[in-house]
Formats: sequence, structure tokens, C-alpha cells
Amino acid sequence: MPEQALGWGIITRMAGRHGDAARGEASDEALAERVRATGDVAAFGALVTRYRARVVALARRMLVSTPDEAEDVAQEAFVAAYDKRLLFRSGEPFRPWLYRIAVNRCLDRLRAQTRRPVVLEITAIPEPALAGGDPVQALLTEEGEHLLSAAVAALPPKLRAVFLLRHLDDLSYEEIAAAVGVPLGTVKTHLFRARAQLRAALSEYLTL
Amino acid sequence: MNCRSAKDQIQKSLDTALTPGEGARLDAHLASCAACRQARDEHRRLARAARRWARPQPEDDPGDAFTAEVLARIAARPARVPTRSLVWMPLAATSLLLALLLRLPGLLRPSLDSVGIAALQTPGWLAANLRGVPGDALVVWSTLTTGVSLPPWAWAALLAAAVVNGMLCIQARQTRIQRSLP
Repeated sequence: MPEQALGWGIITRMAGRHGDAARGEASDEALAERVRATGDVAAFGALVTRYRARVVALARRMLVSTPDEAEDVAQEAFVAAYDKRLLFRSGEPFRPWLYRIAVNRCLDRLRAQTRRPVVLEITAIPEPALAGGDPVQALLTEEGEHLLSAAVAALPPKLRAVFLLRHLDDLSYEEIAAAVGVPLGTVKTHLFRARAQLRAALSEYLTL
Repeated sequence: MNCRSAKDQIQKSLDTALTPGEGARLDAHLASCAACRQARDEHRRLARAARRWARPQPEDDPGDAFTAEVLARIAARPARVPTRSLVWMPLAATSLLLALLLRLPGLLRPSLDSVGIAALQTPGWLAANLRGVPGDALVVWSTLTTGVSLPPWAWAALLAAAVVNGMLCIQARQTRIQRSLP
């Protein structure tokens, strides 16, 4: 399937992620409030279904050296979210609240992995393929994606989380601050620093 | 605008976080600076590639079995005490501590009197040695053992301090919980 079609498929499926009033779907916040107030497991299941792809994707890209653990970490994050439902404040946006739990789970897992660090060999990546002369297309080849994920994996975990939340689900600076638990200024600093590091690591591709 | 501030503005422009005025000033700078134009182009390429790489792909969706597994794990666990039901504990602990601090010396005084080391009857240096407390603390100790006679406003201030302390305990605890969410 062409990549464009894949992208549209995901976007279409995620279009109702905050709830679609026209189709009678409850918003994330309405479901979360129901879960908080009554422990409604069915409402929580609806939230899991809405967010599972994004939380798994976040975990896979955060735990880039051990992607097999991503689904387990995502499951732990959802179970923790249910356990902490009373900490969800009425009127608070649900998305950054959930991402905060997921990010913390990933950071915990990364800390546990420090005893057995995995180093990705960036130097083993072949020369950039000139895919029609388009640098972005070149980065989206298998080699390019390997290089990109290796460069992201080389970022410090918090910078990686900020960078991923911005690009994975277009979170605003304010939402990222809530999700990562750092001040707004720190979000900008982390994001700018992450981009600068990636730009330096991928300069060979970006200057094509 | 110089190149240094243009670097930050280029990054903000990627997040559509520039005001119209900032955008115009950046455009003016880019029109005359090839190095910054190059930086902007590279950042744009990086952002496009990162977005397409980071976005969830169909293979990232683990399917309904995942949702079922999460709900099964929730159902299989023993019921947990809701976190918020414990938030009164720091307040209660603070109040209890304050009450003890104020009342304990008074409660002990008869026994101290019986062994003849009450603060009012004993030289300060001797009382300090007998009780094993430093000289500075003796002043406070003596005041308390001779009876707490505070004006009403002081009692109100103490009560307010206890309440504020309790609230700070609660907030600190919640912040700690949120920072260390499992």
C-alpha cells in the first residue's frame, strides 16, 4: 500500500480521537470523567481503544532499542491510568494526562535498562539513497528510518519524549509541559535542543 | 534580527508558534541570510521526516485483543484503596504533632516536679544537663513547662499554620505522586 494511503488510513481512524459529537461519540474528557466518578470499565475500554495505537507507537519509539517491550509498557500505562483515575481532575484535558503516565512508564523502563545499555551503530548505516533527489524521501527509506530512529535513540530520554510528543501527536507546548512534567520554557529548550542534535546527526541526509 | 535569534524563531515557526510580527521579522532576515535559509530548509525537512516516522502506523495498533487484555488485567487485580481517600492523613498527622508539642510538656510537668527538676526551681545550666538538652532549647522548654498562656490571636495563628502546613503536605504528596506515576 502506498505510504500516503497508510498515513491517511491512520489519520482517518484517529479523527475521532477526541470524540465526535456529530456521531454521538463522547469526548475523551467525558469518558475520563465517567471513569473517575464511577470506575466505569466500559468507558475506560473506549479510551484504551482510542489511544492504544498512539501509546504503543510512543513506547516503541521511546524504547527504540527494545521495541518488543512496547506493548507491555503500554498495557502497564493503561492499567496505571485506571488505578490513578481519581487524580484526573474534572475539566483537565485527558490526552496529556494519559501521555504523562505513558512517558513515565517508558522512562522507568529506560532507567531499568541502564544496566544493559544497547548502542545502535549509526556508523553502520549506508550512504543516503537518492530517492528521486528528495531528502525527506531519502530519510523515509529503510536506511533513512534506521538512521532517524538511531539518532532519536541517542537523545537523552526527556528530550526524546518531548520530541516524540510534538511529532507523534502534534501536542502543543502546553500539552507537552503537562505530559512531561516540566515548565513551558523547558519544553521549548528540550525541543529546540533535540532538533539541533538531530539536524547535526542527519546533516548528510538533510543537505541533499 | 541576528542569526542567533533567527535560529530560535525558525524552530518556533515549525510549531506555528510565531506571532505575525515575529514571522515578518524572520522572513525579512531570511531574505538576506543564506545560512539561515539553509537552516530553515533543513529543519523543515527534518520536521516532515520526523512527523511521518513518528506518527502511528497501522502496525502500531495492537487491535482489540490489547484492549481486552488491559481490561482483564484491571479486573484480575485486587481492588485498590482510592488514592484520594488518604489525603487527610498529612493534615491529621500535622495537627496531632502540634497538639502533642503543646500539651506534652504540661503533661510531663508533674513528674518533673516530683523529681525536683522543674524549670522554675532549677538553675538553667543544671536543668539543661539533667534533661540532656542544649542551653538554647532550655528557654523554649522552660516556657512550655511553665504553662502555655498564649493570646487568642496566637492560637489562631498556630491553627492557621497547621492548616497551611497540612495543605502543603497534601500538595507535595500529590505532586510527588504525579511525578512518579507508575
